[in-house]
Amino acid sequence: MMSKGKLKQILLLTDGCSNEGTDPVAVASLASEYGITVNVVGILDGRSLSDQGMEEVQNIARAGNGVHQLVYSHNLPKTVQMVTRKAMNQTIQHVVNQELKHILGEQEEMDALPPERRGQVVEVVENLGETLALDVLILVDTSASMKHKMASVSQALRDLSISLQSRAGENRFSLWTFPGMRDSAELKMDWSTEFTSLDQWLASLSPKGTTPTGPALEEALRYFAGGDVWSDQEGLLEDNAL
Amino acid sequence: MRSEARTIRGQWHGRTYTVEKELGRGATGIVYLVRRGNNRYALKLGEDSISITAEANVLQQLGKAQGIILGPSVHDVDDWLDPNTREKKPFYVMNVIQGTPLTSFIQHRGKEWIAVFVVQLLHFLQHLHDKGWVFGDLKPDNLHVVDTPPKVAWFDPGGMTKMNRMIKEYTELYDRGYWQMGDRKAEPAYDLFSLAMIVLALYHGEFKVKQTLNGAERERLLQQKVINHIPQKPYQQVVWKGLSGRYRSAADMKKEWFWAWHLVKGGPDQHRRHQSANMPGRTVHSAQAQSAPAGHHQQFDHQQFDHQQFKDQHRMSKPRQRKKRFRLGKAISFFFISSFLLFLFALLLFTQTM
Repeated sequence: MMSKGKLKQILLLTDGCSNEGTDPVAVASLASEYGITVNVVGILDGRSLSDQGMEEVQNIARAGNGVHQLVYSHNLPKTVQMVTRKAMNQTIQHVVNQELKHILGEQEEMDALPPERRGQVVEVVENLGETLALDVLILVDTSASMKHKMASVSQALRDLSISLQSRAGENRFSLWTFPGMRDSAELKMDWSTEFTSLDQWLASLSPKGTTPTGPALEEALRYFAGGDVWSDQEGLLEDNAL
Repeated sequence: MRSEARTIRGQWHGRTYTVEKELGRGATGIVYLVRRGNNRYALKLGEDSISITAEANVLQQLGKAQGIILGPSVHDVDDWLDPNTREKKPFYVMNVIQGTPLTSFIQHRGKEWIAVFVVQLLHFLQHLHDKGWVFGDLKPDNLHVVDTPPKVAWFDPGGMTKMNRMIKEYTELYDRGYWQMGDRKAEPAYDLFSLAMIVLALYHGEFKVKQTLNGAERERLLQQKVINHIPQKPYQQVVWKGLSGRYRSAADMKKEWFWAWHLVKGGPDQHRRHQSANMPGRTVHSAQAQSAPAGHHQQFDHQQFDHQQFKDQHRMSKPRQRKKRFRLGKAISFFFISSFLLFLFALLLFTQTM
């Protein structure tokens, strides 16, 4: 079962609240309109993320149709993998539900089917999750407070690629850090099927103390747009008969 | 403070379950001990109907293949409207797996039981893999021992993954991806890594690893742990082969585990002498490792782990058997000759008296 459709995700890793430029929640809303989900992993310290920061993490993911998770840095690898997979399933499930509405009428979603008949739908969702192509743009906060979390971040990203490479579908990664030297965010790795020299890129921290999450997301969205991403998400299931 | 008895009523099939207590929490939901009439069940209540349906699916498909070892089977799948949150929550109901957690059973009854449960689990995995499924999240927490005669039983189908797909759920210590000893593609070797790790953890206790260790360092750490904590060398060899992904099927590992068991139990005298000559808790292998020059890490001789080696070691015990048989033959012929002589003597006495 092959499909021209592609899953597009932005994965934001941050430990603080944005303090410069556009509202990141607005940018996430925009991204979701174009079929790009925005997932956020909020990294906690010994002392926890501020209430404001936690709320922002949640709101960005909600607006971006994505998944969010707060986590201590030593649990990062498993979380990043889980968030990515959950977001994939959520997106696919959303699309499958849309299809079900077409087939079964306006009110019908998967939950409206009796449990005995859900099995087949689940089969379709799991099949798509395994075979669809996936693009993940990873956006890492490299402000000063992230310094001692970078080892965990690079471990988590390597771990993510181990997981995704075990899928049948094609995967591509791109790595961005923010704030950048000149712009709000900086491209570290162009679309590629695996991570190379990750440690080297993540070792260099940004000199600026600001956290321009909104403008960085804008940058990421613009970069995603450079590719073939503007094809409508509705086309995802074109080749897949339910 | 008395907590109010909670009931869960299915919207589709209308069965009501009374919650008695919480049994555990997984990645996809909470498992409760529930009662309906005179029967007790385990009920898994989730948030996401995809994962709950998927798990119930697996259990229903496996239902026909059960019987190798005890595992959950599904009695009911339904939705419940949570009156507090007004949310619809999916659940499924299965039989309760009672018994002792694997780790505490081994602590109380002794490490010799490890070998028995390994064989039972390999037998189970063999059937599971033949059916096209990989267990995924195999770990001591998902295994209990049900008694008389003690038999290992499993629960939590959350990690069950179709062959060749990406493993759904795993636990770092038992995941070969985490150890950078392979990917997370569902295949027999993935489960065999977890099983080998269970053996190591049962001897050693669970352990943690520094995140900064790279792949080669992780592999060396595992080797060291296998050498230092599993006292029987034949078991070390099978465990290491399982960890390094060199068994293609559970059947292969089962075959070699049997050889190893044979060597440990009835094998050459040499092995027993080694064990008894050492202080309890310190084995000859760890002693060797410690006497090695500082900074030099004792490495496995990979050549050692060939199947041929097992056969050779097995053969080593054969001359001894022959020797035994030879001695027996000697005794029998001695008996015959002496009884013949006795007969002659009696005959002589008889003819004399005539």
